[in-house]
Amino acid sequence: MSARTSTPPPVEYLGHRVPPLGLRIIVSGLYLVPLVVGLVGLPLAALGFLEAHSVALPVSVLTVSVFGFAIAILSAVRYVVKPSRWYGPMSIVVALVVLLYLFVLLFQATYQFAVPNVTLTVAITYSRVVELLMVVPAFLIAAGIVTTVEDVSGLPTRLAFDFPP
Amino acid sequence: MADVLLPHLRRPPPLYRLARDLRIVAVLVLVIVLFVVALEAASAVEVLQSGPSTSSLSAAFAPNGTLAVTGTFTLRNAGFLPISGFSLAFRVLAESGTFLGQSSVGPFNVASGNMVNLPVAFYLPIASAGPSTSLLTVDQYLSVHLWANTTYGYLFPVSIGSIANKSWGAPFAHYSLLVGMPSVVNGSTTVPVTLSFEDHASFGESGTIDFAIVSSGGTVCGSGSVPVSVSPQGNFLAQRTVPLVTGCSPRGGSATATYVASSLALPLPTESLP
Repeated sequence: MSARTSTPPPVEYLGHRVPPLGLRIIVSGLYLVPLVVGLVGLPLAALGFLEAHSVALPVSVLTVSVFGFAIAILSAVRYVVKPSRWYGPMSIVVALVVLLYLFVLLFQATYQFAVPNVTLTVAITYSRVVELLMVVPAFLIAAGIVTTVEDVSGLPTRLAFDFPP
Repeated sequence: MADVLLPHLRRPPPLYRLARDLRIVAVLVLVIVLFVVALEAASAVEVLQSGPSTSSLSAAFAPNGTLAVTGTFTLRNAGFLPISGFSLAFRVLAESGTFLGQSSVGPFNVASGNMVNLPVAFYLPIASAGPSTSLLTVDQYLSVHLWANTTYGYLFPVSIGSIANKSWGAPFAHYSLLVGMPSVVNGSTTVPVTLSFEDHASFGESGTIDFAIVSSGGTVCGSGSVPVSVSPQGNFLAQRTVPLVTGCSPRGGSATATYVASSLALPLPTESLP
């Protein structure tokens, strides 16, 4: 007991328990639902609300749909391949797609619209917000690179903590 | 055996911890940015609900030969974030689309919970020939273009543009200076002069209108002065008999007039004589 608390145990392979592929696919399918709702459903609902009130859209429905589905599906796939060496590269790909999405938003980051029934036009520039959000995929890319390097040196070490026995 | 029972006591390898920490930082950044955006949106709603407003603009003749249109723009920052670099710019066009004048105020910073009253003033030159002189005699709809630029909070530069049509009542609407047929009485030639207009402006006129009958050659054949005291929406009509200079014919000439008030002399439109 005293040995367990006074000296840290050596890092050693603990073993792991990876869920079978079928279970991972089912879980990723469930994981897909909130992702699609958050990345596609809610933005499209917001765009639909603006369109219904004759307000110009800040970004096209196609852009939101394509990037939203792409990010959601890639994120789900990333979970499926989590026990493999593809997890790191897949994390990088997901983050790159997010970054690309934000770049697309950045290039149209001035949202100009006319208020219906009033001779009023409003232009809001949200490029600073998009730039700040770009920090997020940047960190995720860095994390993906680190995971890739880690997996090259020894995959089971990560699995012991991602899928503990 | 202890490894299997208590795997969470194991310290993950450095690369694993680094990757995990990077993901945690990414999530933290995302949460913070979304929180700030939500905060700014909620605060912006407070500002909009407090209602920026413009007091009704008032117009008056200014001593420097201009028509001064003045008012106050009130901006109250009921939100909990500052409004920085707030500026307003106005441009006024006549109904014909002719540019009349412009004005701007700012930039101002409005701290949270504060209110600023920004004076708005246009000075439209009407003492000299130009498009603004039509404001003296022609009722019309003026096109007022307004632009506002500001940065709300720290993240959102906002610009607002508005076009409003404001009705303008001319102070000398339907202005007329009629010169009748000359007649000879007791050896001297006189001519009847009728001066009339309606005051459609929101302000009255008090002073005199000095007029002159000018021959086609430019010689002043006769002149006179009529006191004027008209309240807003009032009518003015005055008739005078003006003696003419011997040998000077107003035929083919013109009738000129100037509205004279305290330190102000506004030329009114010249009327051609048949």
